[in-house]
Amino acid sequence: MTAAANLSVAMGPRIEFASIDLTLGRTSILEQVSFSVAAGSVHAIVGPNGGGKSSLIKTLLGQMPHQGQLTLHWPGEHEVIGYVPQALEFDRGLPMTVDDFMAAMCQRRPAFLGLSRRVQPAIDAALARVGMLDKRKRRMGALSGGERQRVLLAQGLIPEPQLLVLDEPMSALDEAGIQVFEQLLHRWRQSGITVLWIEHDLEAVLRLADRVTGLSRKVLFDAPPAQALTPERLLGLFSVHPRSESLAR
Amino acid sequence: MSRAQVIRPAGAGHETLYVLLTALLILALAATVVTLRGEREDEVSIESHQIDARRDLTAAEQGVFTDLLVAFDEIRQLREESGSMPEVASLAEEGLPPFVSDASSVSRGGHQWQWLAAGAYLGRSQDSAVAGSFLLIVPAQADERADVWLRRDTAAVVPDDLQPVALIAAGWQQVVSHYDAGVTRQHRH
Repeated sequence: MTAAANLSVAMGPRIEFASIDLTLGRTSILEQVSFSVAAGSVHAIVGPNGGGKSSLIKTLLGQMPHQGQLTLHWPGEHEVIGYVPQALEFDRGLPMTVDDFMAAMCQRRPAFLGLSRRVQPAIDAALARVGMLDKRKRRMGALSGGERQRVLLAQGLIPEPQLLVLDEPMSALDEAGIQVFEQLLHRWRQSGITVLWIEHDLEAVLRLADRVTGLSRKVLFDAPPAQALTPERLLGLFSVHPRSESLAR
Repeated sequence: MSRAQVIRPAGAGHETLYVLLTALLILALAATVVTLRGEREDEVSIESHQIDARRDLTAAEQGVFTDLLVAFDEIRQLREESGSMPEVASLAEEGLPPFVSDASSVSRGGHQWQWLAAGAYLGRSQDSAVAGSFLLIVPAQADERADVWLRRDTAAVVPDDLQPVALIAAGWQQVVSHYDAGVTRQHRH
C-alpha cells in the first residue's frame, strides 16, 4: 500500500453543524450552533462549564434530541468514530484489569475469556502508544487518574478511527501523559484524522489546534487559535453574560 | 467514495414507534395463533323438554335424583341375579333409598313408589313444593344408562306411554347432567 493510498483511507470526515438547537426539559443548552470542522483538522472547542460542550459532543454521537442539521461528510469507506470520555465512572474495587477493560471495549468475546487473538496486536500497539504496556495487568481501580485517562485514550484508538472525539482528555493527564497525548495528536494530524477536541487548557489549544470554537450556549467565535484566543474574546467567553454581539466580528 | 451521514436526533419518537410496531406484531401473531388453534368453549345447551340436574333441581330433587342413579345400579344387579325386575317393596326392605321410607325420604317429599309394567319406577311426590314426581325408566338393555324424568305439577298422572314424545306431551321433563366449562366456572345463565 502506497503512502497516498494509506492517507486517503485514513482521511477523516468533515463535520457540518447547521443551526443546532438543543433543549432539555425547559433548559436551552445549545442555541443556533453553526460551524464546521474541516476534514483532517484538529478542532478545539473551548468554553465555560455548562456551556454545552459535552452536550454538543453527545449530539454528534447521536445521543441527544437536537434540532437542526448535523452532517458528517465521510470521504472514504471507513467510518469509525473513536470517543474518549472525560472520565470513567466505576467502583474502585472492581476486579477489572486494564486488559479486561480493553477486551470489554474492543472485542465481542466476553472479557473473562481473555483477549481475542484478532484484536490482541491492536490492543498491544494501543497500550504501547500510551505507555501503559507494563501496567496492563493492574486493576483499573488501582491506576492513578492520569493512567486511567491514558487507558481511555488507548481504547479510542481501536479500531483505527477516522474521527476522534475527545472530551477534555488532558484534564486528568499528568506531565508524561500530556506528552504522550501531544505525540498522538501529531500522528492523527499526519494521518489526516479529524479530531474534535474539548479542552480547558487554552495554551495547549493555541499550540496544538488548527481551529478553535468558543462555545457558551451559542458559538461566540470560530477562528484559528492565534486570532481567536485574544484576551478580549476570552473574557467575553468566560464571563457570566457572554456578549456575543460585540465579539461576533 | 464519499458519503454524507446525517446524525438523527436521539429521541423517543422513532423508538416508541418501533416498540408500538413490535407490540402490534406480537398482538397480531397472538391473535392469529388463537384464531387458528384456539378451541371453542363448548357450552352444551339443553333441550326445552330437559332440565339440568346440576342447576335446575331443588335440593330435595337433587338428593332423590342421585339416590335413583345409585339405586339403578343395584336394580340392574338384582335383575341380573333374579332375572326379573325387583319389587318396590323388596327394594324398600333392603333399605335402598329413595325407595325406603324414612325421615329423609319424608323431608324430600315423601315419594310413593310403584312399579309400572311398561318398565319404569314412578315416585309420586306428596309435597310438590319440596320436590316433583320422579320417573325412572329402566332401559331394556342392561348396559344402557338410566333415564330419569321429573314432573312438578301436582297431578302426576301415571303415564301410559314411556316414549319420550308422549312424556313430553304429558308435561314430563327429562333430567340430564352434562360436563362443561360451567362445572368449574360458576356462572348463572
